[in-house]
Amino acid sequence: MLKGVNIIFLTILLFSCQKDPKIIIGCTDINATNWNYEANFDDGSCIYDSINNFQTTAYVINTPFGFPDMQIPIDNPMTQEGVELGEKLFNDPILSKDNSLSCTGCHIQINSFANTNQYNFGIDNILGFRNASAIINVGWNSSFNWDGSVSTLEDQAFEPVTNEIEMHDTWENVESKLNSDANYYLLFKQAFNIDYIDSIHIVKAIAQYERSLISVDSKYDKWRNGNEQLTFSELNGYAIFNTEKGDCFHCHGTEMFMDNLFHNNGLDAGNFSDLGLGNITNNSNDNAKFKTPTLRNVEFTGPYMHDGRFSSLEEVVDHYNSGGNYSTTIDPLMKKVGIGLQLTNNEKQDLVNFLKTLSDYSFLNK
Amino acid sequence: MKNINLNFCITLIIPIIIAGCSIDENNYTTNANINFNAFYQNSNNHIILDSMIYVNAEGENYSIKNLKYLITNLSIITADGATLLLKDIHFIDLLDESSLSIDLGEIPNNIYTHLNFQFGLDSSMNISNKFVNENFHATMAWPDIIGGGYHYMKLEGSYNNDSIFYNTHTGPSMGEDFSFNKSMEIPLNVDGDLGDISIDLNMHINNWYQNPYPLNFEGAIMMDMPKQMQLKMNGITDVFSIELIK
Repeated sequence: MLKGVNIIFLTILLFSCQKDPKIIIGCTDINATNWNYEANFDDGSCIYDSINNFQTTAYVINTPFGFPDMQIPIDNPMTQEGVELGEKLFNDPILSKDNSLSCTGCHIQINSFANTNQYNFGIDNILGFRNASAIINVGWNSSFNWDGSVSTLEDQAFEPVTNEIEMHDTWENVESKLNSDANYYLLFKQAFNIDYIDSIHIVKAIAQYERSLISVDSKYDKWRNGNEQLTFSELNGYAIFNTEKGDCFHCHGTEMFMDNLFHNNGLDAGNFSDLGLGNITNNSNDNAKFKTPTLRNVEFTGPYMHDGRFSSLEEVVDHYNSGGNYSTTIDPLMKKVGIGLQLTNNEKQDLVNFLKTLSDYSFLNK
Repeated sequence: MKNINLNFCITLIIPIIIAGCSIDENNYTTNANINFNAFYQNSNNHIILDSMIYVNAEGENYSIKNLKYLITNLSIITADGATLLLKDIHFIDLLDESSLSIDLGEIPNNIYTHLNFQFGLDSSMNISNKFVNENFHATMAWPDIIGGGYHYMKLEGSYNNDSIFYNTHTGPSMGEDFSFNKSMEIPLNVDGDLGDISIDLNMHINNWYQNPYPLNFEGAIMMDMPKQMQLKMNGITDVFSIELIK
């Protein structure tokens, strides 16, 4: 008897020596209906859908050269089923009040999911006031919309559906429409194992699809891989881009060709009609600052800037070559205000030619 | 008899186990943090952003809008020459409060004499895309065509008037390593009675343009190797100071 007590006591003592193991007990299987993403010790409590035996197939993101690891929300892992469902939703006008406008109404694939209009009309024929952003490599963005008003793709996907100048629907109505569609019921069941389609899972699917839109197969990439040669003009453009002669790289650097930051690039000399980031932060120091877009596929995404004021890359280069307009929030990287870059016509053309090497034609027709 | 022996052994073992539980407990007694400050010159007044109130050695008025820089291998050195690495790489952004101090945790009892760090990244670390998952990757990237890797520092503002900007960007110009080591005296006896400490690592911004090389703000400098060397020499001389607060 004494021996038994001692052994128990010893065992307790030994375990008490361990430092804060932070074991969270629960179901660790993602395919279970009661998966606990915080659990690190499976207690055998997993419950599976007995009818469908719910299983998903992981959608693997291959991180491109020079890109960070994509930050995927732990509660919305990428699955084949989720991505396919997201693509279907993205292309379906069912998300709009009168079933006339889908996401692709403004974000057109052959334009790298931007489009050629300066602004776009919503279902009530109300014209928007910002240029539609390209949707490319957005899984590496840390904020969304030109003004950075949201920080996740899921949150971003919530907006257009109810925005009165876009789809002007209600989530209640969208949920109702999707729940009465047997095909969607099945697809959501397969992707998320849910019996009621709600807005949270709708935006999750769309976000998964958007994260899958990866484009890194341009002439530039092939050149970086040693599989293709740039022309003399393109190489000269590359040099202008990546030195202080053109000084593009400070905002559009790295293999992502963007810095995930906000800048006032000297479009206007004060009296801003759109405060951009300043509207979100309510800080006047942020007025007229907008998110840096990637320049990958820039050839297809015009017109350019948050307000689509420039219709061609040549106009964009002319803007920077002019030095831009001074205002109190202009970025100090615009250090040629009043002087201009002083690029020759040939150099400007070289810069444009380099920008076109960032075009990934295979992405447009995937 | 057998039971008695067993009980005796267990009685002996229990205190050993209890004592064993404390083997992992360290004997640290002093917690430390380090603060990164930016001053104009040799005073201890924090700089005021966006104010054209500063004057460099060339007589140019200037303001400061942005200051971002990298330090590496932040260490303290014991009296017998041993190195305690505090942090391998740290990105300071004057506009990001969270980057302006580091909680160093507990400092082991010892006698320390110096705080060492590298300004920027030396050539063994300064490689393009080496730090893709760090928060400074996109902000501090230095183009391959002029050396690759990362900027050491981006110091930006206006000079002469609000609409003329300077960019004091230092880095591996044309692949040359212009990073430098600083070793600063910090007499520190961590003995169990010291209590918590704070270390202020101060950058005196105007000294980048002053001693031994007076520098103005003219021109682009990322490909200007002589200017990068002059900035390095000025940086080594008196840009940094240190203060221990007990």
